[in-house]
Amino acid sequence: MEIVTVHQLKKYFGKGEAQVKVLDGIDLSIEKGKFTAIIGASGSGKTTLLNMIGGLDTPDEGEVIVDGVNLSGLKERELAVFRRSKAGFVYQNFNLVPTLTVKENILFPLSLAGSTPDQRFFGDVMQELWLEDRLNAYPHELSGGGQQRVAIARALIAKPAIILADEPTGNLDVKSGQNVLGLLKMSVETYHQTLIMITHNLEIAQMADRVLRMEDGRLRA
Amino acid sequence: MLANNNLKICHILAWRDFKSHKAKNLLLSFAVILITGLYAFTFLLGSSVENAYLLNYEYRYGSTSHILYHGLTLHQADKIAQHPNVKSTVRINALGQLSDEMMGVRSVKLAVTDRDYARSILSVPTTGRLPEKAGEIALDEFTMDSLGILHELGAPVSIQWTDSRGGRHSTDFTLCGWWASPTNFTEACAWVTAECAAGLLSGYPDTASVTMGVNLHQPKELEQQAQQIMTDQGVNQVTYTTNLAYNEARMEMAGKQATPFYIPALVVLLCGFLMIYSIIHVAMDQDTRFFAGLKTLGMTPRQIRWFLLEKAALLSLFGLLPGWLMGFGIHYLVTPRIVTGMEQNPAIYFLAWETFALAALCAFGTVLLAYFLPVIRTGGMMPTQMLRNLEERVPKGRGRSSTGKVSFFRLAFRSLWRNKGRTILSLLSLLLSLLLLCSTWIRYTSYDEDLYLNGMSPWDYTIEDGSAASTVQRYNPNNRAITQQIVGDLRGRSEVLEVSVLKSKEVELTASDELRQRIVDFYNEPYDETMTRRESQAAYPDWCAGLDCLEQTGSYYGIVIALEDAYLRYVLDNCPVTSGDFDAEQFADGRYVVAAGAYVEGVSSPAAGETVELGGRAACRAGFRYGGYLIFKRKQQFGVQLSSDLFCAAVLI
Repeated sequence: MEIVTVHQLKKYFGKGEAQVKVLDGIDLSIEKGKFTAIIGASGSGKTTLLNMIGGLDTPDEGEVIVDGVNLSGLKERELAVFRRSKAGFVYQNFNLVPTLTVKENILFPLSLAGSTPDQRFFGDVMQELWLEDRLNAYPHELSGGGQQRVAIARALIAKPAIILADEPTGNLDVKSGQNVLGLLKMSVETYHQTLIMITHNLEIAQMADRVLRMEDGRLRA
Repeated sequence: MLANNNLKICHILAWRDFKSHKAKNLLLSFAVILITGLYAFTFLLGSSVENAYLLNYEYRYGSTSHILYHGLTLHQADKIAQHPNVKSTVRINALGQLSDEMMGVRSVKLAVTDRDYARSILSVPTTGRLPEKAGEIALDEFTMDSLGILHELGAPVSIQWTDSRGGRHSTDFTLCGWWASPTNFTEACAWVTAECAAGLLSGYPDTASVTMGVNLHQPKELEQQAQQIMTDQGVNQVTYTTNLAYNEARMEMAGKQATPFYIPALVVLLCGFLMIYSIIHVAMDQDTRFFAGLKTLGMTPRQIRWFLLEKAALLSLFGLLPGWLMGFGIHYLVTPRIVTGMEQNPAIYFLAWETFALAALCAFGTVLLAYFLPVIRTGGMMPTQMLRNLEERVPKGRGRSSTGKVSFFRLAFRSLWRNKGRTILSLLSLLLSLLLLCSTWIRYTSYDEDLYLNGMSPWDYTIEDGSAASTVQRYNPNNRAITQQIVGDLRGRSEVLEVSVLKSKEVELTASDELRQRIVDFYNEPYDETMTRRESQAAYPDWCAGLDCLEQTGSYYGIVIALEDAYLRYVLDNCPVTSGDFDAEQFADGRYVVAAGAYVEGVSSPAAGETVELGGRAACRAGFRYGGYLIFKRKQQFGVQLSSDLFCAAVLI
């Protein structure tokens, strides 16, 4: 079953002669419950594609459908609600709110929606990610790996349709990076999540169920 | 898909953010205190000026009530008080009116003490108290001065008064208190107890006339409301007056008077906005990334706006009380210098909670504007668009030093130049503020204080007889307010440079045939195509009678004024001489007088060398001129009746 469908996606930056085609007609389908890795050189359009799928940016042409929701034409308010409920994000720079505790950061998307978490699920995630005894700490009190585990927990807690990870191990040491990757792969298997990850690391890419290569704004076979 | 947008998390975020950025928020709090204080001061000053203007008309009206009904019975007063338009009432039972001829044109009711009514007409004793026992009376100072009553508690008071049926009475009282009535009060009360009233007026209180002051819920169109109330309640044949201060034209004028004092609020808005905006957006890049991150996590534009609203509210709350205190402090020092002539401190008298609330609201609005303005621009932007804009703003490859090091000056310059619009706006507002301050300073330092003060008054103090200090009073020759002893004491004080004394007396004179003819011929000349000058004064029968008397008998009244020292110098310096020269020696000798007449030369000012007889003694005269028609008044009628005992003392210190 396809959870993400992209039709003739195009995105341009700049105008006139300085215009750059960042995405040049992407057609793509991603199956549910699979780990998909996107690789490519810098400036190939990987992050832009990920942003389009996550509703963080709007295409100039084409459409993006995620879990039955066509993102084209949605306003910022509607996209914000989509992001908190249908997508989980794991970034290279963690993107935690520094004034909230670990628990508050993890529950942030649910708090925005005014929802309460599934306590059993919350307990399971805390256990899997070794965050049980760090719930009242602040992000600056954690290591890089610890902060990334918080970000993963936040991405999982709303049980989103897709998890989008952009170089999640980029700021981590080797050991922490392997740890994080293992956790992400575990979430795919345990919680049947669909994971789409951007990476430069071919070893990481080989762990994926499917690898997509981007070059000059197009997908290569 | 659309889920509930919880705002509680915004409150938590705002409070945590406020606690974590202590230095920045402390600076912002100072700014908010300053802004709140300036708003509070501006509104307090403006409202004081506006209310003082209206109070002046309330003083003229004689009451703070919106409508005054006169000559009511008790039943009629109760009915009027029940009307739905009426918010509150005060009333007095008047026994009659003071009828001593020394009262002049002032109307003073003899009334039974009512503290509420006394407050509404600003007639509560400031020395002593209201009467509590029979035989006691409380009066205002003008009445006391007109009747020659000593300013001493327990002083004997003898009152002539007329009751509502025209019966004339004379009653003795003991003075138990007094107050300083505003100068233009034409209505006043003399307070006695109910027990005393019962003894003075048979059938009291039924025979007393009720005066009722009415305050309305909506003080608009007072004339129409006054009539409506009477019609609705079936009250007829009573008179009423409406408060001048609530006349719409007056209120509009009061607003116009106060407008220049409210305008600085716009300057406060502009400067306050720039101050807060500048402080907040020192970390603009960081804030932009923060908001982009929140949007990524699913925070809607509404939630972001609410988060900023809570931040602005927290900040405004912290600056509120200190700001109010600061504003009130400046108001307390400055407003009494602008709103003058009041016995009470205008800074306290016109204090109202509404101005503080308005200041708080404006301060909150200013802070909110500073927080919201950039958010409005980026509200509909996607998170990635916000970050792209951020990167485009950073200048690339310009101004880098060859060593890779950067000085503080270069760092500061780069920070300012990254947002040119904001920097230029800040500079312009600072320049405007500087210009305003300098122009105010230049204006005040350019005043020639001595010239300004001399234009106001040639001397520092004037002490004048209390019975004739106002045009609505009539001089009382029995008043012994100023004595030679007082003048001597003043002259003996070390801080006093000079004391000048003026005495005057009204005397009957006989005009020479030439003078008589000249004056009569002047007033028989045409005023316009329809009437002569004499006929133009037909509305003043006393004046006409005076001219007739001059024409038939040559008799008229003049005022002899004895001048010396500063008074004499003032007259000689400011009044131009039309004939002759002033000879100080002959003047001091008493064989020489200076005469004043109508401004048309030669009408009533005889030429130098002519003589006049005063008290059986002849003196030569030189003339000088002053403006207006001659004043013909008979001795016993309205006007200033003078005697040799009236004098003023001018004191120079």
